Amino acid sequence: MTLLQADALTVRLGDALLVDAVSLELGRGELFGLIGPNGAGKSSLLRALAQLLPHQGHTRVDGAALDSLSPVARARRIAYLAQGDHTAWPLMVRDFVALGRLPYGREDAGERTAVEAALAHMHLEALATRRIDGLSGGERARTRLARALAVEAPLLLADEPVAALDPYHQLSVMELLRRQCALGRSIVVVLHDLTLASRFCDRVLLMHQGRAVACGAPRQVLTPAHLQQVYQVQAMHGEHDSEPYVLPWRCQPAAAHA
Amino acid sequence: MSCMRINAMLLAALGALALLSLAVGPVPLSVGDIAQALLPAQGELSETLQRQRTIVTEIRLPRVLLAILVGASLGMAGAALQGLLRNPLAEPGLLGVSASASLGAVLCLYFGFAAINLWLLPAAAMSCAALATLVLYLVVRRGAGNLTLILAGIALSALAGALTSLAINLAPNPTDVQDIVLWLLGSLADRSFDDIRLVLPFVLAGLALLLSSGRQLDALTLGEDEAASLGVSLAHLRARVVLGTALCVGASVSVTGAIGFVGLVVPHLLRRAVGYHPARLLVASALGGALLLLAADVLLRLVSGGFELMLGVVTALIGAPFFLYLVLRQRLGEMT
Repeated sequence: MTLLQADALTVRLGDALLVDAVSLELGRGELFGLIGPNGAGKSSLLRALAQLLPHQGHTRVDGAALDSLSPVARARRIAYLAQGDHTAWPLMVRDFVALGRLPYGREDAGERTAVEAALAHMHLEALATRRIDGLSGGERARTRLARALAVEAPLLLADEPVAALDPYHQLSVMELLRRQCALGRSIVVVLHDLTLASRFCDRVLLMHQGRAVACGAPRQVLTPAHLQQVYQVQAMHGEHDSEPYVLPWRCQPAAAHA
Repeated sequence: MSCMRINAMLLAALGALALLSLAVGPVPLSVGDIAQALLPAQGELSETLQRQRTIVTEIRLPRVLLAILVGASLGMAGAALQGLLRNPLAEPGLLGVSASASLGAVLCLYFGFAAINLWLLPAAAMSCAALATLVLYLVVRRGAGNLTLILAGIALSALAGALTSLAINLAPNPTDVQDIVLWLLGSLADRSFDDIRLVLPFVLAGLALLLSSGRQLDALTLGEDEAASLGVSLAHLRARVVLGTALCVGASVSVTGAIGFVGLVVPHLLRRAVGYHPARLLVASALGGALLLLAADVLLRLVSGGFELMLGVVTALIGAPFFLYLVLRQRLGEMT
């Protein structure tokens, strides 16, 4: 069943076309990867989906057109996790996660259970009373994700949640996202790591210069031809534990290829 | 420690200090004297009692109430600006808001408008404070970093300061100059209930605006995009904080002159105690600001002896070294 439907989203910044008529559809419980080189328009597309950027085109979540909803109603449907950590004050982990309950107003009966559930999902119970500036990078990333989960929105948009994490935490965050999808949540995640994208995502959208180049199962999208065209790299493709991996191996600029 | 407990402690300290402030002065009064003076009169009063009553209700009480009102305004405005700009260095004084409010008031004094209508001086102070806050807001909205913001604040301060100096420079006679300079030094002396009546509505409106922004300021901890994704309208939030700050600072400056550093120091001292919550910091900083200003005023009356030291001078004397200490102590990473 479709949860998110975006039609011809276009984002302009002055004369530059950041996102050029990209459409996508997302089912319930689906983990959807947005991939592409730097400047391909992934973050702009994600921010347009979250209604954080002026754009053309329409987005529907759960059948409701987002531009017809109030900001609070919209906030209850879409949780958004920005790229990079912009935390201004070192709140306690539990208080930080509770910020996700803002769309539910002051009298929020569900706050306690939602916050505790989010902490539990991200294995943060033991850190709940710690200050966020005392956490490691991996713990901080999980705390920020828990904040987004506490919104209890059916759709989560996460911009590079595993950037700057060590391999263990990259895998653990991806596994936690996978588990959220198994619980029925739909997630759009921007990724740079092609192996993580091919291993964990149900489908991926490959972007290049603001356009959608290909969309579908990772095996169909992350082909040698696409990688050469979009990333200008040659990659090793293989399979381990019957799951695919893609390992960028050497630069292959378009001119050299031709 | 819970936030409620901190507020309760601040409130208790404020009550005790208010009582002390009513007691100290050229004519020392006991708690009994003060209670007697504040309670409704029972029959004919002796001359001493009548005098004590005048001292308490007409001289010291307005001063105490004004200190509380202005301290609370400056404290909360500082906390709100720091929350909005996500920067512990933000303060109405540092960012040129106070200097601009002063300029508005000085222009009023210079052109003699202040004598025409009681409301003109506060109105001018608040308009100039609003204008300055608006400029800062535009700077922030263009995505400028903290450094740019502080530079813009310095520029605003310098401009307002220069125009103020120009007014002093061009003042037609020495009494005008003295009026302006004394007013600029900041003081709570010789204020009456008329002054309180004048600023109370604006201060209350400003405080209410700032208080209503608490939850949104909390959300801003996450950064602007994530706050917006939680349903916070950044434009509305900025407008509320800008207007609230202008009302609070403008109204305060218009009756007491420029009193610096309260808005910077108080949120700094209390932030850790309230768990770094921007919303919880608002009320705590209001109480803390009132406490600090009242304490400074009492101290000043105790030590100054014969002549009256100016409150603005004292808060800057305490505040500026403290600010330097903060800058020196803070690690580079936290500053940017």
